[in-house]
Amino acid sequence: MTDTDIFATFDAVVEMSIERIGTSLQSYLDIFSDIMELILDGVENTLLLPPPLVFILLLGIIAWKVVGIQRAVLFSAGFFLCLSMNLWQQTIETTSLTLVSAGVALLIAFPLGILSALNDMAAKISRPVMDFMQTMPPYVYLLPGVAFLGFGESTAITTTTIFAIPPALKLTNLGIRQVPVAQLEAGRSFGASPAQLLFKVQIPCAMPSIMAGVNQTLMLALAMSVIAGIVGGGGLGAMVYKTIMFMQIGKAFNAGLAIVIIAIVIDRLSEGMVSVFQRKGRET
Amino acid sequence: MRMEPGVKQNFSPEQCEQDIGKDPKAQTGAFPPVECRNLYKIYGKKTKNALNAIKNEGLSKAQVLARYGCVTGVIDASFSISQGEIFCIMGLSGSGKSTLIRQINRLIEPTEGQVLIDGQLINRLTPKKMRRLRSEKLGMVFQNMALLPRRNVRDNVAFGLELRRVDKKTRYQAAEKALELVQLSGWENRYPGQLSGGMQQRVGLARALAVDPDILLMDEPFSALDPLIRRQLQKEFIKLSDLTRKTTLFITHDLDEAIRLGHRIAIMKDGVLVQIGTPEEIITNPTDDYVADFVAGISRLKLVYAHTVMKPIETYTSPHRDMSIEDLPKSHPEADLDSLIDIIAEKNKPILVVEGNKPVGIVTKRSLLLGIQGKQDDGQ
Repeated sequence: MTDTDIFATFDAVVEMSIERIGTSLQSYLDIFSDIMELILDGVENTLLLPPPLVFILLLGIIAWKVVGIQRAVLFSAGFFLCLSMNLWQQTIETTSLTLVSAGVALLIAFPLGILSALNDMAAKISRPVMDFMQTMPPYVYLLPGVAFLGFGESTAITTTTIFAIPPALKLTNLGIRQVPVAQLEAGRSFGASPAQLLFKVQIPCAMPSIMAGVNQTLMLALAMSVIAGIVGGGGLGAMVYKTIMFMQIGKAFNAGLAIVIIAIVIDRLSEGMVSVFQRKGRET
Repeated sequence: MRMEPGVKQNFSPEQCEQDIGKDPKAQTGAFPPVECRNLYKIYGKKTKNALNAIKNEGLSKAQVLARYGCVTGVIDASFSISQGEIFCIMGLSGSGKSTLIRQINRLIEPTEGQVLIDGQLINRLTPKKMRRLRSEKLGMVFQNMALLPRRNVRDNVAFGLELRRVDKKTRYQAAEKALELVQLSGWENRYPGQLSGGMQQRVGLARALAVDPDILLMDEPFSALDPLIRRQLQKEFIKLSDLTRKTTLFITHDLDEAIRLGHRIAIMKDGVLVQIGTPEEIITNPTDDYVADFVAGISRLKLVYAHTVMKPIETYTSPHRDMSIEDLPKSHPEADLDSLIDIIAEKNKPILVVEGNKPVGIVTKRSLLLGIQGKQDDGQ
């Protein structure tokens, strides 16, 4: 067989497999997708509940506590801009998608990250898997997603979540592995069980790294949720996709600006939480 | 150190179980708090072969490395520590002292040999029972303090009790008492990053004291501090030790420190305990050139006593029949050279050493001066 024959066969096999899996798992996928959409709608509706101005005010207060008054004012101004560009609904949709996906990603990444840190075999297995998940182009993710879950929010959540898992997992793994041996010795010498060692020594010490992982996961979730707009993620991603298709550069730019604002707010706020954890360990 | 020959050794798990049932308090005085018998630690792949080679052929560290590719940490270490004693193990880097202390609480597993805590063999204890032993009987202080940076001082000191699941109120009380002992009251809410090195180590010490252990294990606790703070902490530690009377195993690379703090000292070289004895014994009777080199620079004034430099009374009375020994200034056998110098400098007469009322020896100017130099007076 020639090279092209081999690859053609490979492609056919992949497509057939996906179709087969899709059909056989249909019912489970339906349930899964319903649950995902339920969660997302829940979050979205909660965030849409307060009138936009109230939301902006609450955001300002929270930001003030975490990152100071100057940034709080900036963040509120940014969200106000989204409001005035008539993009409030989409902004909240994208923010919800980001938060839900990042939340699920963290729920998966933390336990697996801890497992990789404690078990060398787990680390060996997870590394190539993470590499795959991180470098495979997101657009390629979308196709199996659509094949299994159709166009809609659940596809958006799933693909975004998968894309967002690696940073948190890797940084949790790294953080725990980098706990100084001295502290582990201290823990063990006073009679710590492995569980006590994990929760009282290793995880607290790894917190800066873990929080950095959280920050990165949020950023990736946002980036991916915009791409997922293509497959029904709604929000600003869909906005960008639509306006680009129709060559409405002004509106596309507005949507892009809103995305940047969300990115900055989420980044600074989660970074602010990292500083709170780090302040305790710093010398004065 | 001589071990009693014919000591029966039963290290089955069943025997360990039985030992645990006994009340350790009832055994106080019956067994030494810490005892090691023939401890070996060898790192590498062919440890069994290397071990046999060392036992049968007496290979050195370098030879073991060359022939088996194994690194020897500890070779045939045996010693026992008495209740309330401060036992110093002194050696240069790489002598195996840190490896040795970590085998006492099994942070490192011995390749061979037995460790007994309060007469109980601990080598075969299950991990759970070992943890219980550590949290109840052993407290450890580390060279690099090893405080948890994200906890405040109080939570750091209470850490050992927290692991034992003691309730918050009780363990905070214990923590505060421990901090008082190391003179850091008032610093409970600070974080380790806000403390100087000396203060951090005092917190480390408080942490070990808070669990009220029977035995303190101290791994070069003051080595990472600058000399002035080191001196200060040594003095404080001596006071603390007199107060708490805890059996202590103290590792150091500083002979001065070992002499200042230890009731007995063990000198370690390349994994072997070369000599064990009181500071005075080590200084006056080094077993080999290595030890002799080490102690050459140590001042004998406060460490050598009258009973070592005194001569029989006849050596004085024979040539000096007209002199009465009753007129001579008196001192006792445990008086150090420093105090003897004071007496001779003032009275300019030989000193009569008396035990109770009985004269036991005489210290002449000549024997005193030679004693300071570390030489015996063989002359007139």
